[in-house]
Amino acid sequence: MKRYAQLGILALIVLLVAPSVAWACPACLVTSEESRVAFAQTAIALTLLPLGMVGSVGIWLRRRARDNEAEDIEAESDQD
Amino acid sequence: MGASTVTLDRREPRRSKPLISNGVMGMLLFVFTEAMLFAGLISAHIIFMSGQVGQLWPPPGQPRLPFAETAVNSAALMVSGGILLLSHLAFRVDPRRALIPLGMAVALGAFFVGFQGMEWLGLLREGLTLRSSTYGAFFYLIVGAHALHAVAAITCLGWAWARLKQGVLTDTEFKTVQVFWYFVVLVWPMIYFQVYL
Repeated sequence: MKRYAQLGILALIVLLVAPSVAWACPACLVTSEESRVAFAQTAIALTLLPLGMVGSVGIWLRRRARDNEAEDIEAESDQD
Repeated sequence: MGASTVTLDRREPRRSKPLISNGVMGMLLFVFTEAMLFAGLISAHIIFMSGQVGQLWPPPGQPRLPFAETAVNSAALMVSGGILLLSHLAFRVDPRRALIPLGMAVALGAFFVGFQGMEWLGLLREGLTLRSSTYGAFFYLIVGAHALHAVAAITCLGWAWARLKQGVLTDTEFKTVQVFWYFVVLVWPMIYFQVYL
């Protein structure tokens, strides 16, 4: 367990250091301010879009489940 | 020690209703992945446009896109979506009443794709090709991807119309193809405003 924890910490350090060593950020080296802003805005949009889509369907399904449950309870009380 | 008694519950067992049909769920998952495809393409377009020197877009020397004619075409596509919704409402009352509006939705969708094709021929004659510039490459890639989806969705709608004419179209099948067409209709305005304007 201690060995896995040490490996995990080492991996975390490598992940934190590697982008700066590899110049891996696509937005940081862009010279144009408009491009940097465009990168940031599209990254935000691409992050929020799937969360919004899946979240909306999840909320809708939850509401349908609650409605179905209420209908079932009403049907059961009618049978009684 | 007395015998224990068990009371049997003789009421009807409670059946859980499915929250969503498999067809609609599967189509929604497909639509989500395609939405991310278009979001990625549009993002790339936005980033490329922002990086143009002097903010010259469209680049000089390239044919201009027919945004006025495409606006009319876009209206036909929107109307197609609206008529499909009317078809859905009619289907809930009496499936046979959905046949004509569904046929109209298919016809308008086919008109949209056909008109787009004619536009492309004109642009190709004017010199805007996939390789003429990045402007052309983005145009044909993004609008072409939408056209492919539109053709597939029209095919699905046509299939639904044929089954409805035979009287065998189910509610799940109809809703599934509707989800696909609504996606094609709703993603187009974003493409139009980003690529054409």
